[in-house]
Amino acid sequence: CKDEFIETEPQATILEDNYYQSEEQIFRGLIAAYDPLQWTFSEGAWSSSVMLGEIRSDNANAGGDPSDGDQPGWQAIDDFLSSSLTLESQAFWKKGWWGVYRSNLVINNDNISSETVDAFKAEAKFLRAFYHFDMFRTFGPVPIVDHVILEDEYSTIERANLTDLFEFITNDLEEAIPLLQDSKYTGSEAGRVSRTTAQALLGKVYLYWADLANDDPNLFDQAATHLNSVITSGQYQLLDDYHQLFAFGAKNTEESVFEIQFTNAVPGDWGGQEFIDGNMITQLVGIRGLCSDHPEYDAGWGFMLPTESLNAHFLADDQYRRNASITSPADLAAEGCSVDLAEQNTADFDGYFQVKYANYSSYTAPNGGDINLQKDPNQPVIRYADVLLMYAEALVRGNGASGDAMQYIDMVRERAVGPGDNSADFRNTQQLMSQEGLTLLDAIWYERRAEFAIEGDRWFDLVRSGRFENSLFSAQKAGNLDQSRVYLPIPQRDIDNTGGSLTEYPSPDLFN
Amino acid sequence: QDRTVSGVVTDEKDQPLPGVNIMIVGTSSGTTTDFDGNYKLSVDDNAVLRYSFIGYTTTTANVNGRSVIDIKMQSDFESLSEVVVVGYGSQKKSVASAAISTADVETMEKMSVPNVGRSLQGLVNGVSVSGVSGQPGNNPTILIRGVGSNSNNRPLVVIDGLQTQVENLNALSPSDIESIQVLKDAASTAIYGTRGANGVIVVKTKSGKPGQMSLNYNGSYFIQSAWETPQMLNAEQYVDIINEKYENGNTNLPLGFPERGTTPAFDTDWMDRLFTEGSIQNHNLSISKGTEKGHLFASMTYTGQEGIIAPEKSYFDRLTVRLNSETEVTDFITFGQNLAVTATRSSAIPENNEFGTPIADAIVYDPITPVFDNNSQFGFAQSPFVQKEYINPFSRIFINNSETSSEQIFGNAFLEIQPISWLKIKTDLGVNRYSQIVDNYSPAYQLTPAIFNPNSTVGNQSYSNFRWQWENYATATKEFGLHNIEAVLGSTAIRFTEKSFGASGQNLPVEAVENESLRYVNLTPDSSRRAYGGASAPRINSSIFFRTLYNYDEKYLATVSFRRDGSSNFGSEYRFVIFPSFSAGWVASEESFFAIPFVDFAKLRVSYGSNGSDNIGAFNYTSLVTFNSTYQFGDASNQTIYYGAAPASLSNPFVRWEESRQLDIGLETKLFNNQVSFELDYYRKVTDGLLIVNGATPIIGGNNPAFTNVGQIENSGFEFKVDYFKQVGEVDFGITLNGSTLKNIVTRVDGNEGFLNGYNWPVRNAFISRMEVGEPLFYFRGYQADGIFRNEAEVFSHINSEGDLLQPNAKPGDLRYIDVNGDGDINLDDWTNIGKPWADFTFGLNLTADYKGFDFNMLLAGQIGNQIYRTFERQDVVNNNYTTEWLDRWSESNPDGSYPRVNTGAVDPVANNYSPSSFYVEDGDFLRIKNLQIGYSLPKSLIEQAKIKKARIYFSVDNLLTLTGYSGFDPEIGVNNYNVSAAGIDRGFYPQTRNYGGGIQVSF
Repeated sequence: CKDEFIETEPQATILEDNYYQSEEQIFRGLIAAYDPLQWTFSEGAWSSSVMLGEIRSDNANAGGDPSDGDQPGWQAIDDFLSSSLTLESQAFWKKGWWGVYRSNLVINNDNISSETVDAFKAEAKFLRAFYHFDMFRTFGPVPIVDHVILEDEYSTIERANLTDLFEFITNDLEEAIPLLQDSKYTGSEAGRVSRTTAQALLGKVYLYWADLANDDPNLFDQAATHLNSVITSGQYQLLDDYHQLFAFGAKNTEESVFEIQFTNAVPGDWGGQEFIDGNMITQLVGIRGLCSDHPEYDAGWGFMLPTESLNAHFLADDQYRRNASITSPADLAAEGCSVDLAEQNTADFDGYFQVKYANYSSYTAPNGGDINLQKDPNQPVIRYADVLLMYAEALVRGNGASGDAMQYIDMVRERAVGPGDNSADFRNTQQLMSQEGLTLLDAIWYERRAEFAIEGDRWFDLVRSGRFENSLFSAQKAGNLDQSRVYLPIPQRDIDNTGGSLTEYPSPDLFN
Repeated sequence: QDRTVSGVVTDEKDQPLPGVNIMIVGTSSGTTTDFDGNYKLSVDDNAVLRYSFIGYTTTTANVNGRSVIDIKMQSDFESLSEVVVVGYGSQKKSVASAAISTADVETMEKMSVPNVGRSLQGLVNGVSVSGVSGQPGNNPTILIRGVGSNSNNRPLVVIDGLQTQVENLNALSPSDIESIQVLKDAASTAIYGTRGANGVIVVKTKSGKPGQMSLNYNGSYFIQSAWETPQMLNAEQYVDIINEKYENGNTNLPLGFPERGTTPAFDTDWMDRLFTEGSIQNHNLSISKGTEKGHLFASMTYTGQEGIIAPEKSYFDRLTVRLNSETEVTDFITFGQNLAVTATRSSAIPENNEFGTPIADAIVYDPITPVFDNNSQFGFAQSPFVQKEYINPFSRIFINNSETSSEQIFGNAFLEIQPISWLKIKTDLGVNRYSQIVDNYSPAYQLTPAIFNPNSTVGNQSYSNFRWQWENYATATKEFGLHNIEAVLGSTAIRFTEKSFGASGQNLPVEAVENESLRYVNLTPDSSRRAYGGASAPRINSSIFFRTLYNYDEKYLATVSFRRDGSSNFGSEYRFVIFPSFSAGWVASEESFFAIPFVDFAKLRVSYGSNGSDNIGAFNYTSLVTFNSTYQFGDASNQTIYYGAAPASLSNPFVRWEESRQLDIGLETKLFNNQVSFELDYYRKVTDGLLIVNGATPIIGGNNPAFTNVGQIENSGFEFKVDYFKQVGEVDFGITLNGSTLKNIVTRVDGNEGFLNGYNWPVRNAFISRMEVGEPLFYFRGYQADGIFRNEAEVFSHINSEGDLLQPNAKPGDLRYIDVNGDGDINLDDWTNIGKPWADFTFGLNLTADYKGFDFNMLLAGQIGNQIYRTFERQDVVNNNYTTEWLDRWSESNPDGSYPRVNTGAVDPVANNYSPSSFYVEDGDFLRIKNLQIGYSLPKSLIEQAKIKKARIYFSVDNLLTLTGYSGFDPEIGVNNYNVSAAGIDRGFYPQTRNYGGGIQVSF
């Protein structure tokens, strides 16, 4: 019998076995590994590290329509009631692991070797490290996945312990750093991962590790070393005007160290899920019930509503930064725009709306597709301001003297009060500490919350430093918070499909 | 030599037989009877005449000087109805040792159902046919001997020798069918090894009969309506229940919602408004002609069906043209062909989904919203109270505009050579081309804040596939004394390819919104026009097969067959496999010592064999790379999209054939002078290495799951069929009863703690079916609800061994759940088996009676022992409507209510009243009068004048009566698209229809 008769080749595509053979093909593999960074809609749910980092914290509540049942998943996450069946955390879990899988396809490829390929692999290692770190922040210690997992391994997948996981993440970044492009990417490649991007992330990772490893000063020193490299590279500077950071069209500015890229150019539809390349949360977190003639904004669906606690956090001399972060019906009324308060979720509405992810009317969907899905603001993950504040923190908490930590905080504070040179008329860190009765570390915490409000770091800052406590929250929300709910449960699908080797919540001994 | 003999040839009922061959024995001269059965022939005084006619026993008559010889011919019972198809041949049923069922085509033809598959319901034992939806053009689920696989359960359909998918039954005109036989056991299906695992339906289309020439017209017209729809609460009841819901939830009524006791301005019965009357009509014209040297059948059929919901968007039209012929070129060469061209045009409204279907909208939408509102977009009112994924059902229908048109060419041609008397060699080439275009259009709309489409869109998707099949086989038939042997050896090659292409555009010119003909995609002027396409890999099968049929004196029977199959769907290590089968039979009644007086015929048979399935997509042993991931880089003025590539799924190099092994033991008898026939089969079928997209792949795997071989399923059961025919005076009675039992159990699941998750219900994001060892395939999961807490005392007495409340958040009126695992806590670990979608017993009963010109037919069909998961209700949606069953809900004034209290919030997010639980699982048993028909054939004397052979009129009702306890639309929901993991889960199907009508049948 002619056995070769049934040999066949696919049409219109290529077999995996025959791919990843050339530099171009490996580059395409790398782009695919970047792609999940910008999945904001997956498994039929919105997925966003910004929302996860804000809504659980004392900065914001879920919001939505007046029923307090709009997007039940986000309501549950807000109230520390989400379960292993909550789609929103499943979506986040998916984007992370799909990113890891695609990174591994590049990293573990040995079909060809060249310097170019090595650089691609270094970028993929950065991504693998970032995905692991991002998931760690949300789910606690997650498994280390450094290769494509085959079926027979499913039941052996386990959460790694804190040390192993952070060693893996830092090791990936340390291996990547020498091979990554030294200068930061510009022009049509702006936003790609370069050496300083990896150094900044490495610094952040060490900071978290140090904090969680009982404030290990040696690890803080490690953080300082890498963050210092970013500063001394001279590749970044603070944007002069804080309000421009999230203005319409702000993309990969001189302050941007690592930023997730979104585009409105790829047409998306609701069925498209992961193929949607716009920043889907923009419509979701836009101002609900907004007047139709606002000069800059369209109405949105009213999620991620800032709390009174956040509003009150901004000191009297910090209102410029406050106004770039949040607004209120009164503020809007002053601009001649009314907001329909009956449209708000009364349980979650404290009287404020966020404006960092403002739903600008100028967003367009140039190639068709659904405009609600194709808003294109980027999502800053690490800004230079973060590098400065993290460096200051690492100095304060490391072995050495805190020394010039204050000067880095001052840089951030000076810029925050308004555009231009404010050196004469801002309260420096020293003044802030003495006048407000803060320690240096308190001043850093003040600064971080104010500087990065609505950017998705608040909850994770609280958790790593052990500062989350029930008193931060409304009674209803606080009642649900206990130590076991600090991390989101792992999706039931994976608990089931690993035969239970993956546990819903991390056991405390993983942190030892 | 100069004597003229004349006479009339009739059948047993004295009806004249036209076209009977009359030969003078020993010469080559003869004649045939005319239309009235008369003949005239010049013969010798001593001549012998031989009368032959297909289907009748050949008889001879000595002239003996007579000049008038009338002959009454006896029908050859065996050759008429007792031949069964055995794959690449046929066999006298009495000597077949395999389990093969024959459908009663006559009964099928009587129904108004335009789908051949659908009309098999209740007619064949071992074959479960159930409607999935009453939507025009919908394909039923046909399962032969249970569910043998968790992925593909489609039986193989062979139409005039050409292998095809079961959906193609819908391309056939029921009037063109000559016979349908179902091969059930391994002995009969192994020769179709590749795809025989789910049973084989062998269809033969009509051919002309030698000596006959007739022109036939069949026409029918039926009115369709819903046999039942759920009753929803009216405005007053709705206002009452929602007020109560908010009171129970301790929350304020939404702004503007009517207070209890107020009379709303509108009271819309959405169900009543949604359902309307539809129609089915069918017209078939055929010609049939034959001589001893060849025959011809040609037909044309039009079928038109309009549905019972939005008939303008729910319809099915089909045109079929068929030409079958066979010619004896010489004594030893025969050439034949079958060709059908089918064109369809159809449109379907979406169904069985919470998201985006008018049926779901009509269930959930509040009655206090009117249908129309001139101030709203398109004039449809939208509810301020029910939103989320729901809109006014009529606006849903309005924005859905989709039409599918398809053309299909289906045919084969063969050449058969018989070089020597015992050997036939046949080559048969078949082609099947299917092409389809889906046109859709959506206006721009903003119906609710969440349901909108900013740009009008028009789309056009084409899909086509092509299959060719080439078979060559030789059949040797030899007798050695009393040993009879027939051997077949042959090969099959199949190649299947498919392609798709689509284009879409947006922002149509205003004129196009008004004018359908301007909506075509190339008219859109902007840059949003897009094209996309795809092509699958060719799928290739290559097989050789061999079979020997043997019998000794028609008493001892045996069959051996095997097939070696190759499939391109597997990796190089796993491509080829051999499927063998063996069977043996014993016709006890042929034994001289057989002495049971009332038994005319008795046969015992047993078979065992294996076959398999390769029914997965191509290249699952590796993965295909897709190019649809993108990422953008660039500063504000240099935005650049980069295109990535990633595998479409994980790969599984070890994926191999699914294999099923089947044992069958059967008994066939004829009793009481052939008045009763009785058949009984027991089978046990084990399917191993089930092919499934591995739903047990954790997300952490990082890609879509691959196909894998998982576990084992066992189906077993008994099948019986009893036929009883009796003539009492001038009345002929017939009763046919058939039934099948099914025991379905999963016997192994590899890895993953012995289970695989099944259907993920999106509304709850919960897997509500599961494949698990020791349980029926994809049984239903949820809490075991144990009644309703009647009062506080009952809540407080529902405690664990520690004395803690099992449902601390529960209030009187809530469902009480059982702590199944006894861990002292009600949580997801308490989900358990709360039902199964598979019936224990499926049956059909057909009653016929003929009296003079009148005929009566009644077909009942039903099933027992399955459950339905009622998931179309949405209590979690704010201000949803409820069915009238909820009038009997728990409340303080109705503490004995049979439904739980209503409540706004998720008091207990894990275990509240709308969590999946046994409360929402109902028995799906039903008994249905599928068809009731009375016909009248005009007497011969009346129509002969007009040269009419036969004229019959009839009146008929489908689904006249349904007995069921199920509270949803319809208990007959089949397995939607053969997706067995969602079997029995009712998310709001388009219900079956009741059809009243009639037709005429005329033959010239």
